[in-house]
Amino acid sequence: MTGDMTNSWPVVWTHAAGRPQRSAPGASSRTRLFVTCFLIGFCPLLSQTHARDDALQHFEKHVRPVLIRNCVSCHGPKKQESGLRLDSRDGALVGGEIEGPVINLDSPASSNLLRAVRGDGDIAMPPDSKLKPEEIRAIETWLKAGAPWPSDGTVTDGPTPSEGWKQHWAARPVVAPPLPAANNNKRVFTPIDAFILHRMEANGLQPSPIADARTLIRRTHFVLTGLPPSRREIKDFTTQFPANPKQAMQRLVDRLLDSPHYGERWARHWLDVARYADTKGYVRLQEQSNFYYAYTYRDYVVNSFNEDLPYDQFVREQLAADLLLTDDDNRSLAALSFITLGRRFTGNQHDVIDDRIDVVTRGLMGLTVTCARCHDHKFDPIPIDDYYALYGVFASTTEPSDLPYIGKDSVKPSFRGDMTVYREKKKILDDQVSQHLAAALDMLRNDTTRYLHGVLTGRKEFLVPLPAARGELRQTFVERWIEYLEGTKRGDHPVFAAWHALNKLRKEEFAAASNGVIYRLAGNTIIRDALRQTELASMSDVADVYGRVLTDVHRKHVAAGNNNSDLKAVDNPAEQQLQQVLYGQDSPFAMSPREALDAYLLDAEQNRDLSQAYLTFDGWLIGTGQATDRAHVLYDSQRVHEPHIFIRGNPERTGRQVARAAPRLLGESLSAPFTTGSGRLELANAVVSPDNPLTARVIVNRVWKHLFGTGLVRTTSNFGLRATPPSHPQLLDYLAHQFMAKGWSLKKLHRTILLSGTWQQASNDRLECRAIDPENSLLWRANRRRLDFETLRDTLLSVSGSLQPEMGGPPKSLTDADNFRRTIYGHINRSSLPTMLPLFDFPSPDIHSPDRPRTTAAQQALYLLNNPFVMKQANLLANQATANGNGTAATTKELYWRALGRPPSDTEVQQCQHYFNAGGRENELAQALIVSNEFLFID
Amino acid sequence: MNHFPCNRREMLTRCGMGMGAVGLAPMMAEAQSGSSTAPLYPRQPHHPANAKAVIHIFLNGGPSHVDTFDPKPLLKRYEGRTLPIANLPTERATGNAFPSPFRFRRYGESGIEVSDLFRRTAECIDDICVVRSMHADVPNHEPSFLLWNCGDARLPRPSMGSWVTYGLGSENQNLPGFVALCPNGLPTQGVENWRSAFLPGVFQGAHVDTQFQDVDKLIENIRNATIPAERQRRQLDFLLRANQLHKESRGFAPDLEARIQSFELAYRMQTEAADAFDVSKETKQTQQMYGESVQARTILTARRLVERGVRFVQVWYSGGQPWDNHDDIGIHGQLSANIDQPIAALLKDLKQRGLLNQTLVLCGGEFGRTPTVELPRPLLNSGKQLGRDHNHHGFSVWLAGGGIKGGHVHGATDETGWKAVESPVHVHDIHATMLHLLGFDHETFTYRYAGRDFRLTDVHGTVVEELLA
Repeated sequence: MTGDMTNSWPVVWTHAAGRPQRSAPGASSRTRLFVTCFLIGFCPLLSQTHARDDALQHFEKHVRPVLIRNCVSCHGPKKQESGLRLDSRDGALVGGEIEGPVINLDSPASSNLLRAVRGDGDIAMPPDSKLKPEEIRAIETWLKAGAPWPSDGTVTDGPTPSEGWKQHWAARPVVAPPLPAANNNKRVFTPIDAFILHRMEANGLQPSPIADARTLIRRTHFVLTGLPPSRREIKDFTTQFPANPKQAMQRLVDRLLDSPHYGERWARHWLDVARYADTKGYVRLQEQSNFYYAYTYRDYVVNSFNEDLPYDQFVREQLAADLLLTDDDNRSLAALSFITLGRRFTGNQHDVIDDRIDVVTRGLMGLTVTCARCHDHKFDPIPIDDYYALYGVFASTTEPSDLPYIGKDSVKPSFRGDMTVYREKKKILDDQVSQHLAAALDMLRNDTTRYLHGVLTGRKEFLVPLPAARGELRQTFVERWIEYLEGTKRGDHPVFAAWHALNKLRKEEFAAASNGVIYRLAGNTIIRDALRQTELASMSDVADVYGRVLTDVHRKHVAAGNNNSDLKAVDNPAEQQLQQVLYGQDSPFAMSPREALDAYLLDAEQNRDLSQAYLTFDGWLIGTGQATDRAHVLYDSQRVHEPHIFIRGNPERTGRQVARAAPRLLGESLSAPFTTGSGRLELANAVVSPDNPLTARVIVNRVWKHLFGTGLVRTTSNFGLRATPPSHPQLLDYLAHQFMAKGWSLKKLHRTILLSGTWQQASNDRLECRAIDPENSLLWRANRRRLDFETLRDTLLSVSGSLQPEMGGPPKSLTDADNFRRTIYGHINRSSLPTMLPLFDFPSPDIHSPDRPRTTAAQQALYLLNNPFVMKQANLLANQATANGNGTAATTKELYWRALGRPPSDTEVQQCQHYFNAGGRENELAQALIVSNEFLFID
Repeated sequence: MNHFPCNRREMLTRCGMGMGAVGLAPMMAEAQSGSSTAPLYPRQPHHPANAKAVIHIFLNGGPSHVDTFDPKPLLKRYEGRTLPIANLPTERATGNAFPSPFRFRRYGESGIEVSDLFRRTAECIDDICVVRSMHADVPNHEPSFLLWNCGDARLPRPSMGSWVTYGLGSENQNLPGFVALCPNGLPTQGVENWRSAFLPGVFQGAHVDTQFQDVDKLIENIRNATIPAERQRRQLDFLLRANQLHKESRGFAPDLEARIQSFELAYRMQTEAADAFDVSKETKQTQQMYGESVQARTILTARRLVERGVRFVQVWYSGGQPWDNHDDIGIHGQLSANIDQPIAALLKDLKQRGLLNQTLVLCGGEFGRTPTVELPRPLLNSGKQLGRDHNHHGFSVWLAGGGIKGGHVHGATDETGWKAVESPVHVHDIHATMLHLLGFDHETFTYRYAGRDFRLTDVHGTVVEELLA
């Protein structure tokens, strides 16, 4: 027990490292540093010592105090209005996001700082008062002297992030390192051992002996498949291994990698990375909260691991499967849920995008790009521009309201159940839908005048459409009108040519010139006549005319008994043209019910009813288990988003425009601006390019972590400058290089590692080694590990004989005591996880999770002692063990074999006998075994 | 019998810890795997502090400040007319001035005015500091719940109870360190209100639905439904021997050791937790002092937990958002009738037991309500026009104990009660102040996650010195 570790503060558990360590909290300590600097500035004695020449003295006496009194509260350590800091020379030279550098060394007199304090530029500062004339003069004098500023520690020591990155271990190109020499030749099974032994020997350590056969088969089974070996498998392996260890291991590893359970186990590791859940978390009003088809992503991941889909392709599909389809097999579309299955943040699109940037950058490349949402990254060379370069990619995508059906041969939906019931349910839904939609569209058509006025007001930034009350203007529909009118600019649109011609007129000339325009126009006669009959002073009047005409046509249309939105043949061609605007296929009113729903075009009440109707139908459909799979996909938007940075992360304050691109620290060629659509495919290609130094290193490190318990790099999702450096940098490079050279095959990577002597070591403690390397970072033994929750639950099911082998499909509740499927098929509601999941360190699916904490708590023991699910498995196990009824000795033997995969020792047989003699029951004993340390820990 | 060399006491001693140590035993560090297994062991904060525990009474739904702790006589003058200042934007449209139907009186030596809704609580006003200048960010429940409880309206951040338990551990290893007591189901936003987010799951609040009185229903897995205690003890003794045998051949293994201890703790917890939640063990006099409502039982439970060393107890009024009285502010009367007496009892009881000085009591809702009447809207109102809409521009909360200045009013809303104008206090400031009272500098109390140091107060928050005794 290390007393100081738990008894004193501050202790900061670094999640990524997964260990307690003292940490100097970065941001805060910097703040203190800056505060200290100001105090120095105030202190005359100290400033004297700094002032080696007159200019510096002038600065300390007459300029710095002015800056501190008037500027630094908004442009300093606490606040950086418009990104500007005036507490260091660098800060002033870099300047703000709006006006750029505020000091111009070439032409001091035209410095923005001076213009601002004088108030003769665009910006007058300070905002509430004006500096005294002598203060302004002092600043001017200082600027003219070259703006000297004493070195005061605000500039970080050492290299800048960009310089640091050039030397950074994770930034160097991945090249195959030479194999190091190791003395203990006979323990070099694979090249991996050479790297490990080399470092071990340099530290005076020798590896542990190879573990015994039973330990090895158990370890390999659990790590590769998350399930225990059967009695038969144990017996076979323990016979084969002593005779030919190499061959036995090879066969074991091959067999397990071929097992479908391998995919189930390793998919779960990936789902942690992908923050997988079956629900959306906190949704906007009335949005339904299920990702009904999330399971298709989970199944995609399971299959990808089982089929050993090359990792680069796995990544490409998760970012851009829709752009990679080559035939009718569109099953890979499910991969896109890697992006879409995150939280919905009440529909706040900026947060949704932030989450997507995070999962892509941290999850795939170990880069903490989201740190740059509000300002340049503090430690890594990731400027705020890079964040918004990626923001632009995801802002250029949309999620269709009608999710695509996915399948091998057909993209057509089908229902395999009772079609009569299906049609019945579908009809109820369709009727409700068409009724609501008709009502909504009727209202919108009658409101045409207001919407045309809305068009004139122009686009408004809005975060998310919200349900509106009856009669409220829908910004989303204004958008539709704007886009529709854009489309009518081409050629001579019969109805809107006049609109566009008039809209070109300048305000001042409008009244005078509009008549001329109208009289030159051909086109729709009804519009033309109406325009001619009106005094037109501005476009507002034009909007009134168009609105009135279109509304009249609609009223007439309805009055004639046309309650639906169909075109109706009329004699007057001009009226027919107007009908086209209102009811045609390209009309702003032409939309699917789902589109109307997603855009919140309906009234709040209608919206609620319709959401409920869909919810009921979708829920029923999934519940039948007879529905064709769909995928939560996203596609490129028709209009790509050209991103601007948001100053301090505030979407209401946009700064300079940036190009959509990958982070620039990847190098010039990989971070070239994207040119095709949103740029998702280009992004994917940049991520998995062999020239990307990060991606391969990050994934081989993740694999290493799951195989050995800790990564070569402990901060598995942070490979930045502040990451823990790798314990074996050359080994990391070797693995990454081999991985890419062998076609990004995860199964090959597993083989390379699992056949090494390093993997096969025993886990027993060795005092002399622990003295040298207490954390075992040199791998002088195997790390003893603990079953995580999924493996624990799956193993309980397995030893009790109740595990259901079916793979894939819709999820089932984990709190259902009769759910005997593997845990990966459990339903994950991210707003309400079953309590045992967090209790056993299941990570929050709200965000990408690099690592799970490992806690030991009494509540875990309570679960294992008292929970009905565990009790049930104990009972089932006891029933099986006593099935043959051969007395307590035989029962004991059966229980030990089934629960622990070995026969009991003589001592244990006697202990059990004693337990039974004292009135103990089989199910109690069975439970004791399945909650024991031997059951839970893997040597 | 050679195989049973010792009894359980000897066995545990041989495991490396005396029996006496078990109750307080920290879960030992898993040196090998590198993860902490002593997450709930008590720890010292940054600086010495009075407050050791927090009881947060959350009147979920948005209790009206102008009907409880912030008297506004001006509303009477403008009754039925528009106020002299324009109505501020809130969730729904509101109309004319709507004076409080509840009478305010002065209480205590401090003479602070409190309405009849909290007349019993008001008897303790000299121990209470009322903050009348609260403000939050938006007039909607969901983000405001999360802002109060987790310091951020949308992003998945740890709750304040999780932060505090992460920082201080807990004084009682046989109970969860952070308990969220909420009768009748879950509040709006459910378990997100007490989530641990990226902090280890052990710091998540343990939800207890206090509508139940049976301990099995109060705490998950607290009792075995089929194996009686005596048999379970025998089962555990068997387990202990099996684990001991397993450990013997493996040398130094603190991870195995910690788990062995955890089962002994679990066994004790079964008794201790049952006891902690059993309010019938209180004297008749104490029970009467608190009253009979489910809220009374909940608040009495909170005191029992804090008394036993639980670090952070949240008392939710009830599931959902009961204080959200859009149509009829009169319902506030029914609500306060259930909780006024228990709150007063809590404050007096804590004081009597010498616990008030070390227990910070915080009471309020996610926002206040408008001084103007809410206008009816189809589907949203029951047809009555006697209620108030949400108001995040200005509202009141109060604090007591744990180093808080009693008999004090801090800040003020404008004359209408619309907006905090004098010494405004943001929710982040309350968080900063709470952490300060517990001994933390909220700016350096951080957790590194995803390459960044996170704080409960993010980049906000100022300790409100005027609230401190």
